[in-house]
Amino acid sequence: MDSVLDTLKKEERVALSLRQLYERFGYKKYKMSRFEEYGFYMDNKSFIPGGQIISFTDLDGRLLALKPDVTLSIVKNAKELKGCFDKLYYIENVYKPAKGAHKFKEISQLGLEALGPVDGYTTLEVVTLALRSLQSVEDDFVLDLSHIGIVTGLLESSELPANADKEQILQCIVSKNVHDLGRQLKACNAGEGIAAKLEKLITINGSLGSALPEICSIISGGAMEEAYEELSDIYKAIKGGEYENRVRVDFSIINDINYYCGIIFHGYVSRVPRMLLSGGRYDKLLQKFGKGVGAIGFALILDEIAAYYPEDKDLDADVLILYEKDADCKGLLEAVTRLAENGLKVRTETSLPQGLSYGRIVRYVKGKLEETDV
Amino acid sequence: MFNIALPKGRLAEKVCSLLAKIGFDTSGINDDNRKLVFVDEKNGVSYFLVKPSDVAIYVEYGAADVGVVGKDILLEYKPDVYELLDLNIGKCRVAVAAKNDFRENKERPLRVATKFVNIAEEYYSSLNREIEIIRLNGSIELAPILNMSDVIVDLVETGTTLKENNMSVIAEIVPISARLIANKSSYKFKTVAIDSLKEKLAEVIA
Repeated sequence: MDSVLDTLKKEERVALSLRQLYERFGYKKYKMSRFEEYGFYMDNKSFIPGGQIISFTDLDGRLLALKPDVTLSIVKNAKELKGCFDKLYYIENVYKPAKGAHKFKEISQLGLEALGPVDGYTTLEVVTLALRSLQSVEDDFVLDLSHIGIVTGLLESSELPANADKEQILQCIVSKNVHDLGRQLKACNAGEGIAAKLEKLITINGSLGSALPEICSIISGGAMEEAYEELSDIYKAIKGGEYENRVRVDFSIINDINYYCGIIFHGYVSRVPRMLLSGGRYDKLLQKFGKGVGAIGFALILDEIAAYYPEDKDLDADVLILYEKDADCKGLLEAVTRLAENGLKVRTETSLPQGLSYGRIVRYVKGKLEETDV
Repeated sequence: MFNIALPKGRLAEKVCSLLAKIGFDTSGINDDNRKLVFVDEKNGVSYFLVKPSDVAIYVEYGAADVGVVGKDILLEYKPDVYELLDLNIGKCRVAVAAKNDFRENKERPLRVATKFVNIAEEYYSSLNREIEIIRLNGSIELAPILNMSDVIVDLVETGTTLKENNMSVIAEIVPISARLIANKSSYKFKTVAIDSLKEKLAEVIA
């Protein structure tokens, strides 16, 4: 079995092991239709960054789209299971504009969603599965946690002047930009209290355990207290375990606050320079579809793994067999099969291909393999 | 070991002197030779010298963990990076300039020559003014002189080039200075080294 796994690419191995993990935690594989009604995405355009979608007219005249997002379709099709969960995972391709290029890109994603009455346990389960998903890619990983309640709590605080440019302030939070935040707050005559709290929000950066007292120092109001309690509950559950130092706090994570609520998180592994996993609680999206339940989930971008874990391919084949066009086909196939069954990669050619590398090059002559110095 | 992307040209000298002040060995970096990578073994740092507008790309793609880049580049290309510190060097502004005798005709779109297409579009869209962008890569001042554009949107440091060409600033868009930026993933795994660099730099510029 090991040798079969060895032939898989890194992202395929990750996808296989995560399928097993998610199945064991009771999540069902969800296969979705390749196309969706274009109008469906137009109605929910703000959920799709950039709002650009590949559309085409189907044979029956309907305008369809190649899906730019999976979560929307899952939510649309979710059944309302009174008081119970719909737990799903998927491996799907989505189509989005490539950054810096005027063209679309196919992106392979693997994700998991728990739709239902999300409680403390569900949150912990999904966060743990996110951690284990990152761990399956690499041992050196971190999961950054944020909570919409903390960030919006400060932005909607009565201490922030009404003329403050919240969009610009949010941008400063996202890029951890303390210097421009200071200028923004000065421009709107914000008080020192709120300025200090927002600066603290940006600079809190460390393990969940070490960050909690700092978060405590900036909370004001019920929504922030609830958010703090939720983060504390997660810490209580991971304290002393293998993930204690893998879960960090970073409030620069701002997913769309129109859809997300509660905790949100981004996952990184040391070899990939970009975010590899993203997720959070998105009850508001479900409510928009009139499905009065909660939801939490995440997606892992498999393509990022493919790009940053190149396979070690020193050799294109272990053995290259050169044969004459009139060689005995049956004998040659037997010779190839014998080598392949011994675990070698074998390639056959009638002439030496250029630009490839081989461990050994042999000739198939009169029913036998002979070493050659070609 | 971590990598720093530095902008070639005018800013490089100023950044190197800041780095030298915090104990980094930048003596090998010299704009006159063609070497692109310099290693400071003692501090475990590699420096790359790249085109100023490419610094943010090297950092965003993780080839460099941190970099020094003008705020103009960050506003124009909006790279997905952390902006950790205002280094208060390379100070200038992005401004609108025109010939001294320029009078705006508001009945037709304004022709704007610039290399900062996004900054110019955002600025004029905030004024609800229709414009026609003419994208140039250098010697922007030439465009109004040859009547190819009405105004230019460009970096203005002292204003000497404008003055010599009978032009002047008619509106300021945004003040600019060099910023320390970091790759998001690198910042997670090299937090101590990057924060220490940031703090030391903050001390010497204070």
